[in-house]
Amino acid sequence: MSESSHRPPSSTYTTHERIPFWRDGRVLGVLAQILFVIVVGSVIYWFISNVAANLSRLGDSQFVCLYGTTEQWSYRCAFDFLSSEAQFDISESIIPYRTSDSYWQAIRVGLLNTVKVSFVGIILATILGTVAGIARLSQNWLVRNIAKTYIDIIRNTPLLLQLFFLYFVVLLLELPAVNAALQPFGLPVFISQRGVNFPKVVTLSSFAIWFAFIVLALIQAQFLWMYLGAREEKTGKTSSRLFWCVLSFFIVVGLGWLVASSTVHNEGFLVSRAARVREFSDLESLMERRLRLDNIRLLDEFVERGRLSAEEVSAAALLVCSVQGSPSEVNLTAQLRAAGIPYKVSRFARPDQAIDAYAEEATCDIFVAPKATLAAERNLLEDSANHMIVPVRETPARWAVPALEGFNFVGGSRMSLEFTALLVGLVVYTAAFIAEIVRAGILSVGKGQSEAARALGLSEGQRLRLIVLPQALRVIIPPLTSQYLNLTKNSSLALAVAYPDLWRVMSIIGNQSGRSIQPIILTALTYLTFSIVISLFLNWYNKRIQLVER
Amino acid sequence: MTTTEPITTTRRLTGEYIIECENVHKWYGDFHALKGIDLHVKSGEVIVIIGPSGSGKSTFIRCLNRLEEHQEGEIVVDGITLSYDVRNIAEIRREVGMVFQQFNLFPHLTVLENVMLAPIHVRKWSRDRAEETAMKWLMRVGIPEQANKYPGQLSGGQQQRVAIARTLTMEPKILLFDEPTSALDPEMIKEVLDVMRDLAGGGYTILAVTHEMGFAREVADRVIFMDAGQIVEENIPENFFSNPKNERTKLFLSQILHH
Ligand SMILES: Nc1ncnc2c1ncn2[C@@H]1O[C@H](COP(=O)(O)OP(=O)(O)OP(=O)(O)O)[C@@H](O)[C@H]1O
Ligand SMILES: [Mg+2]
Repeated sequence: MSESSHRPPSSTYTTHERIPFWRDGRVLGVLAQILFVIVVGSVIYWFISNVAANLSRLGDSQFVCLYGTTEQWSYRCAFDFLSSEAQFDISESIIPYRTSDSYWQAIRVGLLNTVKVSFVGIILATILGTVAGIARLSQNWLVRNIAKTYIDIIRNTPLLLQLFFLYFVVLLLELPAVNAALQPFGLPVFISQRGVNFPKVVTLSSFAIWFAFIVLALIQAQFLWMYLGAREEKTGKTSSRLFWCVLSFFIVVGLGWLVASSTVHNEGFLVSRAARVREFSDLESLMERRLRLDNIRLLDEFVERGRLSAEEVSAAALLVCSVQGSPSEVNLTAQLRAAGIPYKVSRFARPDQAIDAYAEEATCDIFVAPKATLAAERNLLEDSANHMIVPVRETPARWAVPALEGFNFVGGSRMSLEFTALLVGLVVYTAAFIAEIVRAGILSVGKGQSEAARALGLSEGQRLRLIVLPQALRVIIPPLTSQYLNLTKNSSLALAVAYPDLWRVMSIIGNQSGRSIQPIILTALTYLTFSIVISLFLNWYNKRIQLVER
Repeated sequence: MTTTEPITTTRRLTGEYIIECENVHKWYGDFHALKGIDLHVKSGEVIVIIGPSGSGKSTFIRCLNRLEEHQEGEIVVDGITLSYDVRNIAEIRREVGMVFQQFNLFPHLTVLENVMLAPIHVRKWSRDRAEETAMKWLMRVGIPEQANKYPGQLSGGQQQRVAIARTLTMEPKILLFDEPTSALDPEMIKEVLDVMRDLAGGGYTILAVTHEMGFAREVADRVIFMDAGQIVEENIPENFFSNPKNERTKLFLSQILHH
């Protein structure tokens, strides 16, 4: 293997035979490089001089501006106008935005909207694409052909067309009004012309404790896994390791839930002493007195038999004041529903507004908030001694399910139609390409690999996870990454469905300020940054996973 | 159709059949690849299967660990009947190891990881135990120093020996070889055959498809000749090579022995 003394000749060594330079591979190599540099150089020169000429033609009106107090025109202030007031509205934003904010803030909103739709889109497209790609290889004729039809149709029509179709035909024309919202599969998801409303999880203050237990449960399960493994090795008997670890995980998590709910008592509501409510269960007797019932749980029966009308119940309902979007409200109303107490909620932007409303007795019976807030707000009342804070049981987290109130859904989260249309369009489109990438990746792993895995006794799941996927991923990841990049860039088609992404915001800025070059430069730089980041990742990844060959 | 009585002439047989095939048929679409195979193999027996290309040798031994499904007849391996029952299949594959012509090592794993994979995930051994056993077998096939290389860095002969070690670390009772030396250069064939010869004395039940006649003469208890999906002739090696009865066997032997 090693002939240690014999080293390769250095580049300076001379051949015994002289070769004419036009046949000398080394000379030709250098010449080719020089030629290449000249070609690239002249293209770049042509490009720059062209841009410079165009800029100087537009420049006086657009790119150059007044700099400093003395009249001095300069490029240095070209971007200064972006600090002035935007004065246009943006329909949705993750961060606070008002029309009086600067163009910069508007750009930030657009950028975050682009990131949002791309991020969610990438995750969903990956899932759908993987499923479709695997389905395409299925043994089942129907599954295989459904996947094939989907992929073929989507890949062969332009995305812009799909987006138009989705937004105008499907979403705007076909969707029902908000009070007749579609509820797919009976899930608490409501689709209407107002967008898509779906549940979200709200966390209360005891969540921190529960979270600590979850972490503990994970660590504990890990140790149990190792311990059982060691024992299996010693006794030579297999135990259902996974079962015990999962079970113990859930036991600890469940225990954490109980501990967190029983140790933290931060929730409460403010109620007048006159109502004679000392604890949560007294609310039930309060309502029984109001509705003249023996037992509030018989309410439904009373309504059914006609002894009480829906109007009477509605008039007697418990009036709850709360702060907009507060978890306390979700926590309380869940328990009111469980107890069968009819209630109505009025929401206020700030606690002091809520306490004002509470002070006028007709508006609310109770005001729900964390105890600390209640104590602070109670001091604002003239007769603060007449009001008491009643504790409410709390759990670490609760589902906030959207419910129709008037012509809006409250609770839960909402996706706008524009966002939904763009998201669905991008996901369906990109997933078709990802499906083909996944299929090619899986097919790239030879049949022999699967046969060897099977012959060794690996289960089908293990074969996929340990043998096929790791090898397929090497083939899949590079083109997959460029699909991610495509999705991000395609999100600029948001213009078609009026979703306020980066490019739409930039177009508005260009129109409104009369300066079109700066927004284009900024947009180009942003997308360039995305591309560079993604390709850096790609290079790093490719280096990491290269198969070691001889 | 030739029916064949199992021949009981060998040295270390225990008397128990570990593989029983009765009237096994297999079709690929309309193509009748196996036409009623009857074969009984005793525990510890070494069987070499030869036959012209396309005669169904691979198909047959691949039916024994159900890489292929037979459609008629019965195959019982180590007391378990092969059927669509996935639990039976999993159980049988633990006891039946297979070595392929193209090695089929996992290129993304090192040699050691290749060998340790199945014991850890199928036999549920600890890493330590798997590594210990893996190194023992790598030592036995003569390449412990390559343990941390990747398959792509080894020669063909070395790769095939890793594949053998990978199969043996699972501690199977039955070994299936499908032309293990056919993809190798002549100088590497010997190193693989040496390993196989070593195993033949080790109590394994071995079914090997190979055209290495020297190997067959030396270690086989029985040689089986297949043609067109049938077992045409079988005998102990001495008789098989010196006194073939069937015309097709004679023709085949004359082709591979004198060319
Ligand atoms: N997956 C398949 N689909 C269709 N026909 C197949 C398939 N696999 C094998 N065959 C056919 O079955 C017959 C037997 O094939 P097999 O691979 O068992 O032959 P073999 O004896 O191993 O030949 P070789 O010595 O060339 O390996 C051949 O005619 C082959 O064409
Ligand atoms: Mg074959």
